[in-house]
This record gives sequence, C-alpha cells and structure tokens, in this order.
Amino acid sequence: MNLEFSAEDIAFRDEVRQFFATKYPQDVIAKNEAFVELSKDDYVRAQKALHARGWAGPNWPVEYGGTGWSHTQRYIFFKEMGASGAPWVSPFGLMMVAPVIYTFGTTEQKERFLPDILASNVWWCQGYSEPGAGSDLAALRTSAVRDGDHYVVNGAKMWTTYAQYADWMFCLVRTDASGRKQQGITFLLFPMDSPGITVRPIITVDGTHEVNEVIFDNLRVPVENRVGEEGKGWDYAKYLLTHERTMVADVGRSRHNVERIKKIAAAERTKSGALIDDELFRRRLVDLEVELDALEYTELRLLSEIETGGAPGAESSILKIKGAEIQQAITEFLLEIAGNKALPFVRDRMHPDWDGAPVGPDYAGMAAPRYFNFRKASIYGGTNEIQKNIIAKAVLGL
Amino acid sequence: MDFHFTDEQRLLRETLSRFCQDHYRFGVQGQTAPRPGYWSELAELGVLALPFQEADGGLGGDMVDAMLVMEVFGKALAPEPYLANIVLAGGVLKRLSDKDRRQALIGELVSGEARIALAHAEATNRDSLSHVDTTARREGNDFVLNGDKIAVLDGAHADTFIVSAMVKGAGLTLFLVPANSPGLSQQGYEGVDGFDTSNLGLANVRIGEEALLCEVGEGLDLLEPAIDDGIVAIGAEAIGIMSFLIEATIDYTKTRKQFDVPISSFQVLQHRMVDMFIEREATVSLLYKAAILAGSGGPEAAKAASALKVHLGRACRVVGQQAVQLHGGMGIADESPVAHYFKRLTIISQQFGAADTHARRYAAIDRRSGDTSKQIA
Repeated sequence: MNLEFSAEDIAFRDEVRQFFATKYPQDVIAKNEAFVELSKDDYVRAQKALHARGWAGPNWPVEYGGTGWSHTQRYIFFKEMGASGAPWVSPFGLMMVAPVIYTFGTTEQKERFLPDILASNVWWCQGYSEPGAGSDLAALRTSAVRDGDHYVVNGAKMWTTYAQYADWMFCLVRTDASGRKQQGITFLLFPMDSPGITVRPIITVDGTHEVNEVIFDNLRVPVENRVGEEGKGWDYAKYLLTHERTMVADVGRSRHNVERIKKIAAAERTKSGALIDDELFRRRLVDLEVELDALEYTELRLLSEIETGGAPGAESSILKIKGAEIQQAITEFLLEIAGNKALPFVRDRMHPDWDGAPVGPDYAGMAAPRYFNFRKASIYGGTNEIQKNIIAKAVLGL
Repeated sequence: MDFHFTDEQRLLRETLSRFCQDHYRFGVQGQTAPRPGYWSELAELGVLALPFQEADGGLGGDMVDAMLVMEVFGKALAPEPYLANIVLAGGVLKRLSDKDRRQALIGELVSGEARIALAHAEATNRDSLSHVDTTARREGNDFVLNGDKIAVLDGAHADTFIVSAMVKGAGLTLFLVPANSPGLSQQGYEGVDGFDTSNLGLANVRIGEEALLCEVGEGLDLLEPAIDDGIVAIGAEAIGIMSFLIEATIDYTKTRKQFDVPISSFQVLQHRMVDMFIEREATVSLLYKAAILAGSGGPEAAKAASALKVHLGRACRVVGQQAVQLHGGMGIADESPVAHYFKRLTIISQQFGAADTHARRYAAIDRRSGDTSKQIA
C-alpha cells in the first residue's frame, strides 16, 4: 500500500493544471466561480479548448480520437478540472452517447457522429425520463412505430437538460409493449429541429432554465438512426450507466468549494470574530471535510482496483450517494454563511446575459438559488434511494 | 498509489484468522478470556514483532501490518492486549532516541516476556494529550510521582508502566515505572468491552533518572504519534467488528420471518443495512489513509488520524446501533455475539478522544497547513 503517484502522473497533473490556468477560457472559469449560469457559447468554447488540446475524449479509445489515458490520468484530469473552477463538460455527447455509438454503432454512424461530438460541433441531449418514468425508467411509454424506413415517434420526455441548446437527442423509445418492460426499448438518434418536436421550458425553483419537457408528435426518425438492434436499447442504456461514473464523485470540485467556504467564512464577521473561528460552525465543517476525505479515498480505492483489472461494481453507487450529499452540504453551508444576505432573489441574476447590480456580496446572492438547485444532485442519474437499492441487491445480496 | 496488500500480508491475514478460529470461542457471557499461552503463541508467529524495525528486533512492518492484525482481532473479538502492549507501549518505545534502550525494551516486548502498559488518561483531563495532573517532582537525581491514572489498558497484567507526568517548568514527560514500585497501587477491572483494564494510584512513587523515556518536557513527541497509532489500530479493529456485525445482520434478517416473509425483504431495513455498509466503507477509506501516513510523522498523519476518529464517532454508533436494532431483542441478549461486538464498538467510538476532540484537532492542523485543494491524493 502506498499513496505515491508516479513521477509521470505528477508531471501530467502539472500539465493539466497549467492548461486550465492558461489555455482554458478564463472568463468561463470566472463566470462559473460566480455561480452564474453559462451560455451555450461558454460551454462550447470551453469544450473546443479541450478539443484543441486533444483532451475532449478522456474516456474515448485512441482510434476515435480519444486520449488513451490510463484510469489514473482520467482521475487526475477530472480532479484538476474540478479544482480549477472550470464547469463540467456537458456529458451528453462526449460521455454518454459517444461510448454507445463507438461500442454498438455501425461504421457509418461512427463516421457520421463521432468527429462532431469530439469537436463539440453538435450539442446532444438525453431523452430518458418521462412524465411517468423516473426511477422506474423501463416504464417509459414514448412509442416508436415502424413505418417503412422510418420510426414514427409519439410521446414526451421530461427533465431533459439543456434541450434548448441541443442539436440532437439520443432517446429511449418503446418499439414493443408486449413483453417484459425492459424488452422492446430501442435507442434512437434524431435532430432536434425535426418536425414534430416541441421543447417546453421547465423553470426550476431557483429561476434557472436547465431542464425541459420535450414532446413528440408524429416525429419521423429514419431507421438508419437506430443504434444497435431494435428492442436492445435497455442493454445500451445500462452499459452507459455502468461505464460513466468518472465524474460522479466530483471530489476535486467539492474540495475546491470547501476551500472557498473557508475563505468566505474567514471574511464573514460575527460579534466575537471570524465565522470560521466559531467552534460550532467549524465543528460541523470538519464533519463535511472528513466526509470528503473519505469519499476521496473511496474513489482512490476504486481506482486502484480498476487499474489492476478489477471491474467497477455497485460500489460506484457509494460515490454517487456521498458525492451528491457532499455537494448538497456545501450549498447548505453557503446558504447558512450568507444568512440574511441570502434573501434577495434577483430572478434574472443567474441568466448568462444579466448585467444588473447585485444586492449584497457576490456569493450571497447565489447562495439560496444554488441550494435550491442542488437538490437535483440526489435525484438525477438514479436517486440516492435507487442507489441504495442497487447496493442492497448487488453488494449485500438482499 | 496502490491499495493492494502484498502476498505476505494476505498470508498473515489468513494465518491469523485461522489462529482466531482455533482459539476463541463465545461463552455464555461473551468471549472466552485470553489465556497466557496465546500471547506467547502470537510471539512465536511473529505477530508481536511485526510492526517494529528489523534493527530493533522487529520484522520491519509498519502500521499497515498492525492494521491487518487488528482487523482480524476485531472480527474475532479476540481479547488479546495487542493494542495496549504492541501499538501503544510499542508505539512509544519504537520512537525512543536511545538505540540500546529501544532495542532492549522492544526485544522484551516482542518476545512476549514483558507486558508494558501506557498509563496516561486521567479522570480530570478527559482527552488532553499535553496536560495531566500527575506530577513528577525532582528530588536530587530522582523523581517522585504523584497522581491517579484511569483506563490503563492491560494494566492488571503489566509488569511495567509508561507513565505520563508533568515536570514543573518543563512539561509532559514519560517515565518507565515498574509495577512493583512502592507507592504504586492498582485497581483492576474488566472493561465493558471485555478487556482487562485498571486504574492506577501513584503516591510518592520514587524512581531514578534512568526511568526517563525522553528529555524532560518532551513526552508529547513520543505520546502523540503513539496515540495516533492507537487510533489506526482501533480503526482497524472497528472495521473487523463492523464487518462481523454487517454480515451477522444480513444473515439474521434473511432468516428471521415476520408477517410471513423474511424481514430482509423490507426496503426500510435494506436501506439501514446499506447505511451500515456505507459507513464501513468510509471508515476503511479513512483508515487506509491514516495507516499509510502513520509512519511519516508529519501534520498530515496527525490530521488523517483525527479524521478517522471523527468519523468513527458516528460510524461506530450507526453500525452498532443498527445491528442491535435489526436483531431486535436478540441484539441485546447477553448470549448473542452481536451484543458483545456492539459493546466493544461503542467503546472504540470514544477511545483516545471522542469525535469533538478530534474535530478540534483536525481544524487546528488545517488552520496551520492551509489550502488542501491542490493535493492530488
């Protein structure tokens, strides 16, 4: 047992750190640090900077333009990215649909879609959840009926993140309702400007527009846009879920945010001094830091296992649960530190184009919206309760 | 970065697990008491010599090896005084700067001949490391000790004590005090966790200068890292105990039927067991960090030990209480092993300082060392 990273890994870390400090768009980092919602252009510019450096596909095989990094390098990359204050990479193209396409797609599909995903020329969104299918995703009812060389799609998707930015959607549809509900699901790709698609914004409680309802009314999708076999979509969706846990713990970002909390709490005064020196406050902050220490080493243990050929099992559900709890706890601390200063709700403030004057200190105006917004972390990607069900079944044998 | 055990370490774990299976049985009232012979068998197996340097007569292992031993002992709830003698007393002795003395004392310890116990805790000082009320007054070349110690692990079996006392004008100092010293009295008792423990009275105990284990006033430099070793050891013991409790609880809920179904089919109970599992995994993660860093002696090692202890404060409660809860009445029946693992786990949660104490220490170290967001591990 040892905690040493190799000289190569340390050099790589420095290279990544240097990149984010210089070559990555600094205005995007500044915006993200101010908790302002990023525009599509911000995301795309940032991802194109990664692409220019050859780092857009950390998880991709080299033959499709991926980095060919080891698991440790990927870990370092995402940790440094989080620690730099950079926003997440929109995962739907690069992290989600791309692996499904390069694993299950045809040669023609790979050539058609992968280069534009890698270059962030095309923005993707994910059509999974529905009004009646959340945790029970396989209960989805959006139907696709074969009509010659097309599928005709009818139904609705919910909570579709950044559908308003998206050029394409990857979508789970039901092509057969006769058997088990996991069977008869098919994986389709289609452009968002196709006739028959309506995107309806869902404004969340913090005032932001991240998610949408997407309605399909006799949408026609060419059969050639189906990935893999008809009726096997559930397998591809599951493959995607079990293989894309790289960012779920988000330790780098959370560590960065905890350090920010300390700095903010050091500047906030109480009657007896700095808030950070208040014993009761500090006591609870230590609990959070210790949780984060534990999460960091749980991820490292998993990494050590994967590096030596082990498969990431249901243990990654722990990363999801604890990662979400910690992200949410951070927003709770910010809210609490802001105190009365968290009260002003400048509705447009999170909007990318907002240029008004804030009421109160910068961090405080975003504290409550962030807190409200981050309730999503224990809901999306399989709720924390679903993650516990997975552990109960797969790890504890219950 | 690598969290795998070596082949030797795996072999050690198997050998020791077999030893525990062969030697310890649950009686009506908890674990059968240790027999003197077992300790010398462990010495022969090399388990006692394991975490000491080869130059000192050890096998060249470290706290990762001691962690393995303690985890196995925890899982078997083996009542051997490994923590008291090897980790705590040994932890002080292996840091002595006087080489000849270090080798001589460690030699006696690892052969199983000597039983040395650390007498530091006091009723009036809670979890303080740097201050005790016990005093050591200089009289010529001698020191005269006065004070009262509590919770001396394995004290009743010790032939020698390492006693912490304040020397006026200098501070905390450690002394080696023979158990048969005039003026030393002892009240032995069985701990609620099944370990033999004692309270110690020191009334004008006169010892010579040779009893000094460190420069006068520099006892904390030996004591603090030894206690941190102790935290790693009980953290590992806790892992063994938690593993037992989680397995036992899963097994029990699968066989216990109520309302015509195994109670393991109830989601509310499944999630409790997942909570126990998650607490255990977090403990393992913090334990590995603390065990690997233990040898380095820097502030990061101390911080990692305190992080582990902060977490143990909660994890021991969650796992212990839920194991009992899910066993129903059987969880608090004296004939049930679960009840006894629960008792030891409860004591671990506050041994060497409760969570609040270590949260304070963690914050103090953090304040001195600054931003930690730029470390990769």
